[in-house]
Amino acid sequence: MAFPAAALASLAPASTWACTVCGVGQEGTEWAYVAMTAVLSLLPLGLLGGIAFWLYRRSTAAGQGQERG
Amino acid sequence: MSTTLPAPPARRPVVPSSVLGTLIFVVTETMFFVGMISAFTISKAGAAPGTWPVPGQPLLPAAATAVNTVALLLSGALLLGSQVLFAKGRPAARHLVLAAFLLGVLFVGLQGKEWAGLLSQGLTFTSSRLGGFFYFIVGTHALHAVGALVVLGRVTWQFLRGQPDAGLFYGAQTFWYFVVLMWPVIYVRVYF
Repeated sequence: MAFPAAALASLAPASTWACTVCGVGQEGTEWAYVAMTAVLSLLPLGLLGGIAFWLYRRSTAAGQGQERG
Repeated sequence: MSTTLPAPPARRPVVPSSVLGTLIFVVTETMFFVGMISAFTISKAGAAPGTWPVPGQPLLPAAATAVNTVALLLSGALLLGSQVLFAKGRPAARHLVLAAFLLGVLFVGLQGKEWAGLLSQGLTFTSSRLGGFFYFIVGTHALHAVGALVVLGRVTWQFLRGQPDAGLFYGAQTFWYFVVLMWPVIYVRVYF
């Protein structure tokens, strides 16, 4: 019984939501999945890069201040 | 024969250790919150038509929460102002620190009132996906706010006594800015 039901469902994939993140059920889900993947991938790089750059700027400014006396 | 080595130049940290340590913690916490918001966004986007907003569940009070949001943003702005005054050695900084602290307490108090209202209307942690995500995300933020307020309260007490600890002040400030800046993201993503 399960196999025929699955075979029938495969004929109408747009109506089948196998999972919430596979990206085939709805266009909105796919967009959310891709957007969140991008955010989760890029955000840590941005945060750590931002802190590193800020520390570099502070360090450079402190060095210049010491040179001036 | 004895030689005297020149003393090494005194080293001054370019950033207070409390700020750097808090920043590292804030980065991990930011990813924690973004992970939760990501799960919520995907879950909401994947909801079957007609199931979001969740039928039979109360809508989140976005308009009323705008007041909380303004109070929190104002608190952050006042703390930023206190930093400027503190750097100039102005005693008036303590008034701004106290006001920022009280607005933070107001934010947490209003959030508690909002939770009580939602619970009485049937939105619980297990009543729906919305309830689960809402209490998990907003509750985690509230825990951070309370933790930050404990430290900010200590800073406020020090300011009122006229003995502020600069390291603690800057560290508490950094964490409070995180609480303040994370909230609008949660507000926009979860309440609308």
